[in-house]
Amino acid sequence: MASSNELKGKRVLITGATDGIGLRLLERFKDGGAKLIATGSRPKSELPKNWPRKVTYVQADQSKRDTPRKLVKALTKHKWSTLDYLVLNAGVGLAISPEQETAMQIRHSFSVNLLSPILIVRALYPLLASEEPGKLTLIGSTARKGNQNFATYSAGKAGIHGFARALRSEWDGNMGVQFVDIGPVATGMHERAGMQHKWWHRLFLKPDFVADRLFELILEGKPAAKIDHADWIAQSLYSLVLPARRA
Amino acid sequence: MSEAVSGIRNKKRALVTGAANGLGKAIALQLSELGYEVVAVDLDEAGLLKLHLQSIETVIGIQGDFSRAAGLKSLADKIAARGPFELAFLVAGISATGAFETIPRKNHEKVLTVNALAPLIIANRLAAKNTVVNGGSLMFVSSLSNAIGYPGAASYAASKDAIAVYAKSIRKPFGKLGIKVCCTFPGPIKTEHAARHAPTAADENKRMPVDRMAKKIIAAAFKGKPVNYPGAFSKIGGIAGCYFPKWTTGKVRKAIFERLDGPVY
Repeated sequence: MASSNELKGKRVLITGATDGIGLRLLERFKDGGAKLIATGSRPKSELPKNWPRKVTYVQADQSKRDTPRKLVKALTKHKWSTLDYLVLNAGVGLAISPEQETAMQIRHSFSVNLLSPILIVRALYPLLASEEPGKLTLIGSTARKGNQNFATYSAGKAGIHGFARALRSEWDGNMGVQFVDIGPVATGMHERAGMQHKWWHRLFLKPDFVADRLFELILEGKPAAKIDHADWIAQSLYSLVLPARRA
Repeated sequence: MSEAVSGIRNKKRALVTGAANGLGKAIALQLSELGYEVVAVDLDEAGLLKLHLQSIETVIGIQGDFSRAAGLKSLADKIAARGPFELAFLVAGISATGAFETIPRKNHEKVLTVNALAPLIIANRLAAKNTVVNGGSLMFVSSLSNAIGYPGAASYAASKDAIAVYAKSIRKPFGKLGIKVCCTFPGPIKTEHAARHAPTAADENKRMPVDRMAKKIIAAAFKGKPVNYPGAFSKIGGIAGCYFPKWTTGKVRKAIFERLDGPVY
């Protein structure tokens, strides 16, 4: 785990941080002493009760075109001219048979999961490319290999993977580009996506485990990683053998 | 369909998007030679008219702009109204090459909208309106970049990976509707478009002639092949990219990204 010194004063921007993995990740950065700006699609009045103090919230709905501009404006207002970590976590899933999806739903998913993250990176590039280069983390999904109930979502995540692959090569060590695939997590995303709760949803990864792992991986800066059940088993075994590691 | 109507329409119909130039044009002309009536969609109205004349007037042109996200549904419905299609080729595509940060935001948006959002919405509307005949093929045109990576065209690479996985995801559900979903992963093609986006020092003769590429892609659509790597270069690239993804991306970086003269969008 990160020592608090390591993150003290670091500037971190996390998208989609009003619940789920994003919110938990935000708390971990906050505990580490980082300065934070977080985004979400809901209005400020609907922020969760446990919203960490002194974290700036920017309402930025990624299905809208003005998101990158809003972020630039917020960062300028807070006089941030550099970014140490940019974590693009916001995403939205919709479980639907592909021929039943409406054009509007496709466009929404495309904008939130694929278009906006790319345009945000483009808009915030100058802040990442400062003297002390920032690190970009893009959140993927194990569904990016294809999923018939989440066709548009899978496509968006696959697109982000291709983007990360190209960018990592272009930026070759100057600025870190990290891509993390995450398996199904019990954050309620599946229920929000319109799926009925099934008994096996209880076997989904625990949000706290995923947030802990993601936090670790971001600080390590490993270019490509996957947080899934295999990783969970490996980590559990690891902590059994080396219990001191997590202390 | 009533007999009277089918009597008027004795020709099989095919859809080709991006049909005014390059690969789309080559596919449209070959289909028309094979006896198809081709519904050709493109932004370039003059190009469509030329195609119509060149194809002995078997092409029905629809002018449309795939980069206008808000108008995609109505354009897709307009296309669907010209069905049913035996074959549908979603070829329309653009690129933006150069270092990611040197290309303006609006051009990245345009690439992603034309290459990824438009084919998704067209495929969806064709299925929703039941305008691909039973046993017909729907062909997506991804890119070899899906296998090997494409530094120097980050948003293009993103768009092509997105449609490849979309095609894979809808294969089964569309299959139940009688539509064969195919995806092709062509390597470099000898077109004006490719020449514009490649380094000037690149050897044009290493690219596959567009007519040969069109022929291979049409053949793959006839067979209803889910995955098609047309030509030896693309096949070798596909395999190399599968087993040595980092190495191939490094090669593309050296061959293209490091030799680009400047951004082209």
